[in-house]
Amino acid sequence: MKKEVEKMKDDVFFDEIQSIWDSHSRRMEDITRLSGGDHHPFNYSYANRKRRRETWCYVLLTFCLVIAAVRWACIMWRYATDTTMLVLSLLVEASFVLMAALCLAFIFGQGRTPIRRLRAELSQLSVSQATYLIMAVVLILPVMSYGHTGDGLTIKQSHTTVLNHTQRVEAVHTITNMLKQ
Amino acid sequence: MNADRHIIEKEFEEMLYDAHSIIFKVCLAFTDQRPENVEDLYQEIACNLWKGWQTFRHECAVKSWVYRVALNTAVNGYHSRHYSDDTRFVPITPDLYNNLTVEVDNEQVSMLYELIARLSAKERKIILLYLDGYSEKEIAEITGKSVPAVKQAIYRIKNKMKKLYEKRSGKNER
Repeated sequence: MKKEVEKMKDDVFFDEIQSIWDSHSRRMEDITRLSGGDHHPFNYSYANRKRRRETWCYVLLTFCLVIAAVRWACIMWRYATDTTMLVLSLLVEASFVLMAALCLAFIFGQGRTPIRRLRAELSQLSVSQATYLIMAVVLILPVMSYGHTGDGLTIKQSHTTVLNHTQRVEAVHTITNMLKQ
Repeated sequence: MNADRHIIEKEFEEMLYDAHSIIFKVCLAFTDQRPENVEDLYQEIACNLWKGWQTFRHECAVKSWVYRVALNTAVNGYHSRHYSDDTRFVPITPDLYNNLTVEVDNEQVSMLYELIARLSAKERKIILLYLDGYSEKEIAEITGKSVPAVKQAIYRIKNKMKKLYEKRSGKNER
């Protein structure tokens, strides 16, 4: 009984709110309809300029991501000490670049994608938030996945064989030959 | 080419004037209702609508699309700037400003926006759509949430608004 009374009170309160909103909406329609009559020219050149600037922003962002990824690939290359790790690091880098590209497509892309809900969530991020997110994915995750030993960025080498320069070059040749076949 | 562009621009202007009241309601709900801040957000939303208009494929109702763009722009924040004639995309007449100020000064309307202002950005999005008569399914599509999540949110927001109203009334009585 008490619950029903509470519910009725809630309904009465929200009905009142709704009626205030409805009359406000009607008045807003009237106000804006009246002002819509006198058409002044729109400043399309400014809007287009703004749009182009944003496009360049995204191009630059992509460029930064690629540079970041390449830089990481170089670090991995330097510290990778056996062929398995070498291939692995390159694959990981490739997957991060792919992930960054997918993030960009989801956040800024105009076309419809199958994962619409994810895109709707991601599109709520501002450009700067999205930039940080992607940078975090590209820059931080590789460090976390390979570990940080305190003396610079090194890959955990506990179960890998250390190769010298000649052996490393040979390993690269082996991979290249494998890919050619 | 020029004729095509002219047609697109004309269609956009008509759409924008039809959606004027929606955009202004979003602006009022997401700002402190000061004219300069309302205009900042309005111009930002109009620019984003123009950006999306050329690729908009009419796969959903125009008003729902306008709501989606307007709410996303409002939630993402906007850059405060002082508009000059060179950087003002859509002209706003002084009459419109005056009428909006009179409308916002209405006691009931200002109370309503005061309650809305106390909600979080996500809650504001949902309640604006709900008050404007959108179904739970439509709200879910526009906000990218599931229908049960929207139902739950509406229930929570209603309770929150009631509590805020009671708190406000209590303060005023004292």
